[in-house]
Amino acid sequence: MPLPALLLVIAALLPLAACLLLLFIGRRMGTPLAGYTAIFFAALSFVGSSWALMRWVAGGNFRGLPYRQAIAPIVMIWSAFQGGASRGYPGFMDFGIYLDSLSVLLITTLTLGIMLLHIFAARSMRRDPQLPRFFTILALSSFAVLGLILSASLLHAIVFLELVSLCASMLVGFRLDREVMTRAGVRMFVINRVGDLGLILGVGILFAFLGKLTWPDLWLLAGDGTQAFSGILSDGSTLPTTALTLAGVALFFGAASRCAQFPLHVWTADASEGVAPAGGMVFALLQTVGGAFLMARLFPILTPSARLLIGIVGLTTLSMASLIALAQPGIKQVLAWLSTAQMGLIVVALGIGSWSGAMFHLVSFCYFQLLLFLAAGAVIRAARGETELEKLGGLVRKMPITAVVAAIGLLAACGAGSVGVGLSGYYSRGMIFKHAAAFATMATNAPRSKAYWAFFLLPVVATGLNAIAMTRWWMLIFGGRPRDRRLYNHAREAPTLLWPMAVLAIMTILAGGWLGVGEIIDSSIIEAREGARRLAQAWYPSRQPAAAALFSAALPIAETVPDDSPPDETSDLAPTSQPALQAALTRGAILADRGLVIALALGLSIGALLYLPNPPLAQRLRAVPPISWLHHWLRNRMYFDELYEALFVTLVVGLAGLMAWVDRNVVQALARVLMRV
Amino acid sequence: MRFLSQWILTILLLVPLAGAAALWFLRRRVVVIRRVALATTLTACAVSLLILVPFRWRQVRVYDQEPHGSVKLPLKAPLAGGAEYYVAIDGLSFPFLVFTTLMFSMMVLASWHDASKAAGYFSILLILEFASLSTYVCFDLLLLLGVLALSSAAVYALIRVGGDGGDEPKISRWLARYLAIGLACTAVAVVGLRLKSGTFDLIRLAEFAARDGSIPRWVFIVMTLGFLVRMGAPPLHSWLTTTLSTGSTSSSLIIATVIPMTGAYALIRVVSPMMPHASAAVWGAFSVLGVAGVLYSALCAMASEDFRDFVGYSIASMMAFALFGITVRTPSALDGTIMLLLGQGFVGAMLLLLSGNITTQSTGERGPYWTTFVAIACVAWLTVPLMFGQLVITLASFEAARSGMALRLGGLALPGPGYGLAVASSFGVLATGAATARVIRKAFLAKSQISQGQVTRLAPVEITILAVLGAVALLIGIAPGVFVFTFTHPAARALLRMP
Repeated sequence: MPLPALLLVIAALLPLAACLLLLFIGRRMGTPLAGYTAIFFAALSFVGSSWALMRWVAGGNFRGLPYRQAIAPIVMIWSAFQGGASRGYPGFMDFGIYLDSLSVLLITTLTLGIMLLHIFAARSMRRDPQLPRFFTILALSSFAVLGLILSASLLHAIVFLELVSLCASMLVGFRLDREVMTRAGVRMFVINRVGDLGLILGVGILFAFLGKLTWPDLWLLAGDGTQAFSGILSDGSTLPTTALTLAGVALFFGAASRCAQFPLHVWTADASEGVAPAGGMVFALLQTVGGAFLMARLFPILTPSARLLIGIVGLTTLSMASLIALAQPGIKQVLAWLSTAQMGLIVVALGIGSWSGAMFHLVSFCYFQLLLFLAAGAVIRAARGETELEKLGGLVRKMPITAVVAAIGLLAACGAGSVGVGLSGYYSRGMIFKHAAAFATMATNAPRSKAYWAFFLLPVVATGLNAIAMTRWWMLIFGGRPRDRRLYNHAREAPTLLWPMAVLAIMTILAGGWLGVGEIIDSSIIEAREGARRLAQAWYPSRQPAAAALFSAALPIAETVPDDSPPDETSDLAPTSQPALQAALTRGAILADRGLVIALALGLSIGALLYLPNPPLAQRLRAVPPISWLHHWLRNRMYFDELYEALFVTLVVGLAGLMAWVDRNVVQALARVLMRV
Repeated sequence: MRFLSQWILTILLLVPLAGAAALWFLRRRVVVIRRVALATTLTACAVSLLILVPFRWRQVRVYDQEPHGSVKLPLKAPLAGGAEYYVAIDGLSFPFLVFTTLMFSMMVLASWHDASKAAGYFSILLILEFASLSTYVCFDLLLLLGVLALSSAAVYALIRVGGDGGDEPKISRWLARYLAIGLACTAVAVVGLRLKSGTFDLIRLAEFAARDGSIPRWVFIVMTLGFLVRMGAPPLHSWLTTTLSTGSTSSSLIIATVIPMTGAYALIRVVSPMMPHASAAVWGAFSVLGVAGVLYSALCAMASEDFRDFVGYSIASMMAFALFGITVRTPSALDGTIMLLLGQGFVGAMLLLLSGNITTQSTGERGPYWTTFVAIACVAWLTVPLMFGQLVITLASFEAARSGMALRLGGLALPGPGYGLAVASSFGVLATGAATARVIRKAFLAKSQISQGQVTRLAPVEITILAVLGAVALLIGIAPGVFVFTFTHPAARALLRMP
């Protein structure tokens, strides 16, 4: 096994080892030791993944073929058995490792985040007798998400995603003695299970037509764009575009449930009820990353219709979550909804073809969102567990460093920056905006409806709304005068909690323009093409052109489009010439920078205007109808919970009750009669 | 090696019989009885693993060549009608054999500290092990019927003898009647088959069905129903849920793990190879029954107020899924079905052991290791191996629905209904998961309503059992290719007459 792959496998297995160790002797170890053990394993995992990143960049040879960043991926696939039903062999059992720049980068990011989260949790929960159990679940979660990223097959990715969901539910419902948390955990799991329906249907359709489920096979057989979707498969049958669209939409539905996308977003509010480190893990590193990564892997097989639908769902989620975040009362609830909004932006990016932008934003998101959740945890701990924003205030004087790192996180999340310099969110959000503007420009030139501009304008507006929500969050916690003197007097910085946040703050600053994250992500596309070319050469010679056209729906990250780059023939705006694309991207870059700066400036100004005075102007405004009605609607999360309760929960529980009655009074009665006879 | 390959199956069958006979002479020495019983079951387990040695599993096939470990001896009994002592093994039987020997070892351990379990109990337990193992290696239909009858009688006796003074007599009567009806159905169908084909040999019967195809429809229906009763698949699941909800833990373990498994295996071995030729339309109806059963029992499980009820309905749901998997008739579907059956056997046993006296109104904090094993069981139930098994069956159903070969789902000629069933089975995966999550929350995550003095603490022997069951369940889930599909896949292809 090549060294980077071996190191990453070890990095993924170390948390599993920690989990097993804590599972059986965690209680005996007791509170501090169990925490230190978990930290040790998490740190080893991070060291392993960092080493793997270095080895990956250096490159090497595997089975006589080179692998390296921007050259080719490491693909190791084992077939469980030969021979099969209708095709070569039943490919669903093929399993292995697919290692490219994206997976190496994400694993390094995640292991760093996980390690810092472990350190934070060990300190902030040090008096909690349930700490060993918490770390056990945390370690299992880490294994699940790392396994998902390493997986070379859609089926195995789904199994890992299932484990991710289960772990996320266990983390949210960690406090067994609090009914609201356990209920939230189960609710989250059930909603994810609803999403699983899509995953199963999607994978079923793909397996039925293609007979293979590994990433390179899927990309090669179904992922080369519209012109080849009706192509002939290896067994002489055809793959209809409708089937592929259905599969793509169904799989997106499953991934969307993890990213809290509309209409499967309702677990967001409940999930924020969990302890702060659990929230950080679930929202910044686990569920969202799992769902977004799966979508990214599926991107090449998405048809233009599927991508358009995905974009629309992302826009809906982004707008809805940005509005709801404005009125949430809880310190973690606001962050949870802003998290959902960020995921909405990532989904929009995937919908418009900004694959690199989406992944870039995912990496930035991991850092700033985890930072914000940890800052929230530090505040809650300092405030004796108080989570209501309106009971806090003035904490900047007591917790200045936390206030500063939280501000860095907030500004990065909003995309603060200009003229090419800013925090990580500025680069990633800016890239998405640039691609969105280019997408809309090409649509207008196509000519298509001007409604495509919604993909640019709504995210810009949402950025402004996010800036207001974040200013509100920061001002209500750190700004103004203390609203509860008792809490204020108790609050103080905990030095040991600061340095995980400080590291995250540094990464939040650096992960944009300084560490070359964008370039690393972009090289995944080149590697995927080379991997597919090698596979085509070995097994599917007729699909060689498809390998070259892989990811052609992804908008280029670079300002200058190279002449030999494949034309975007999979877009519903196709075919687009290279000069037109170049012009659209140039215009997009200008619009993105302007849009971002204006939205941010307006958002921060309005936020400051509303929440800087004491008492806040917003408090007076929200007593005035119709603002009061709007506030009530948003505070109650647009009444989606009530709607779902009335529509689905009542129906299912009623149906279950009916079936139980039928079983008791009909089926069993009949059986008794039969017995008597 | 030749001796081993020919006689190892017979040796395996004789081990529990010899153990039962030995126990008969040790009637009053309780400690020795337990040790002998444990030694016997562990020896059987070791022998079942030894079967790995003489055979090349990727070539282990029946139906187109002489199966491995074959022993054929004519039975000279007056009403034998040409029946033979015919035992053999292929990849479909092997996982069930190992499962059975392991489970019986665990059952002996589970009764280790129970003073009421004496020679009679362990003797019957070993006879039941003999009958169960015979089911999996028997290739003669009449012999199969005989061992199924023996295992039913043994279960009846075991529940009566091993009861703790509760509802056991009532439960055992109920169970015996139910199983007797299933056996009667099977017996009628066996006679019908013998009259039509002139043989009890399962391989020749399969050849006859494929060649002639004139097996009467009523024989097919009656035989399938007979095995479905044993399987506990809805709507014939009442015995399973009733006995699980009211029986003691040890009797529940036997009921939940041994009996349904033999029914499912018999359906795969006897009914599966011959029935598409008998009646495609009725075969399709059984597909529908399987999917409807999954949804029905999952909804019932969701409404369960008692944890044992929930386990009962969940097992019924898994059995319905297995029925669907068998009707899909692709090698992958059979792989998934066997994985699902084994997984539910191990995990169901874990949940039953853990459930003890809990209801959905109790629990919360429990003794050391309790939460650990509950977590392992839940992970296994909701991810691998159980959910994975369901997923494999569903994927296979999609493939079968689309395939232009003779694999079309449930014998239905049009792909539309096939896709419909595949989609419905996806809803089945969702429903079983949702039901499990809901009941887990009610049973394990709710605020404790029991006092500290009542907290359940696991004994070392229980910890051992749970650790073994959990480890095996997770191993199957993590590496199904190595532990299950390596054996089942070639045999499934041979069973379905695929090259």
